[in-house]
Amino acid sequence: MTRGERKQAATVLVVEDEPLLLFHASDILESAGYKVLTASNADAALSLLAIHSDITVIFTDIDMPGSMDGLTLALAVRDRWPPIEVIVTSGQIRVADEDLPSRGVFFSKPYAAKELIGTVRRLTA
Amino acid sequence: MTDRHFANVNGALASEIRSFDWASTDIGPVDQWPMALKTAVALMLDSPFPMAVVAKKGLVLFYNDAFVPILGNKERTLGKSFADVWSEAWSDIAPIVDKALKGEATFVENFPLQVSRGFGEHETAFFTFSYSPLRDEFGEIIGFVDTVIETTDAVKARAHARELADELGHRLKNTLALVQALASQTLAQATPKSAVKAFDARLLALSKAHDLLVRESWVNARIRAIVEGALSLHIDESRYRLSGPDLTLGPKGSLSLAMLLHELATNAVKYGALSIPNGRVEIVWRVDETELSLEWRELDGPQVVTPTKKGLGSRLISSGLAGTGSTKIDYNSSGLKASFRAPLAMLRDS
Repeated sequence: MTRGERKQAATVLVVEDEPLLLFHASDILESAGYKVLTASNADAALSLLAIHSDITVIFTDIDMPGSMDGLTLALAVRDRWPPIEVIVTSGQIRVADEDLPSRGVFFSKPYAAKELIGTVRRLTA
Repeated sequence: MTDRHFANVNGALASEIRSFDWASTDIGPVDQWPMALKTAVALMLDSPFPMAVVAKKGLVLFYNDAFVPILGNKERTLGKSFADVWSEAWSDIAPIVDKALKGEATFVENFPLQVSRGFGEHETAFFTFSYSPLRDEFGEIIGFVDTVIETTDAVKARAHARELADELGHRLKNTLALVQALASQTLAQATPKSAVKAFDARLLALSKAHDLLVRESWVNARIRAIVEGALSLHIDESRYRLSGPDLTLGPKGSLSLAMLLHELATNAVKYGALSIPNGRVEIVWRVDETELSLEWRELDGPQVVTPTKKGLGSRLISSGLAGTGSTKIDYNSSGLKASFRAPLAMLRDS
């Protein structure tokens, strides 16, 4: 993974309870050179965030089982790790702006690989 | 005695109004009422539509048999003050009453009110109603007439249908995302990358067209939004021009048009006008009597070459709008021109 070793490559935490969608998002981000960590629910995501200080972007699904959904997780991340950029996705067509954390980005599923990569690139530029 | 008044009118409220002690209210005994009030009450009692009459004096309330269900289990309401009867919702009702008593009529549809009708809990109820000022023979306002129908069930049914449509859309999009991931994961090793990419792009075009249908509860979508949605996946707005009436298309017509435009745009980006920076497209449509004709024109592109191999894209384009097959493609040297025709009814109703 020579591309993953580029020193500017950001680490993205992908949170998604559906394994196929988790693989899909991870593959897209890894092929674009990002280091990827994965979690299948909000609690696991928070545990990873607590120990990996190199995470710069979190990309989370909204509809997940567990103690909190992706929007609550997104707000918690903004609150506890303000510098981390947040991208939220869902099968819903839209999300109310007031439900997103500041600087948060939403796109609807299914999304284009270039939309995900472009957004991560823009947020980490 | 009030017995001779409203004597020939049948119904429970007519009989209650006949026997009611009106002298004990602000408007006094029936003999002293203005003629217009008597007429309005008589007309109200004869109406099968829910109606109430409210006198300006003391806001004394009259209503007919059809109005009774609107009051629910409220107790002793006849002859009481309208403000007391609806005290729980008075802050919302009062301004409309004030307007009526100043001569300004109101017609409102599906107006929400927090009401308490003796069923325990407060409830949100919806009403379509009109308040019309009631005048005496001198033109002075002496009250107003309230014609009203409760629409709570209809409003709730519509909201529920909307929720179901949203939920269906949500699930469909989740499923499309799964299909996208399945295809990419399954085909990643074996297939040329271009085929996986083409599949991914088609799936996204389909999903985009569905978004518009979900917004309109699966009933229809506007042609302009469909065209813009399909093109937005390929190019920005500066590179196309649209012209035509903003018709409404049904679900099948919408999806067919979106997929057709996706294939045309894909080709244009690869080989046609959109493959070079200055190239652009025009999409022009019009309705002639019962037929929609739509033209895709590529301008300022490279030299046009007639393609030799026919892929899925060409086949979809040839099959035309809603599968009618009436496709005409000109490989003009100035740019590709594709024309489509389809019966409007077919695009609109399916």
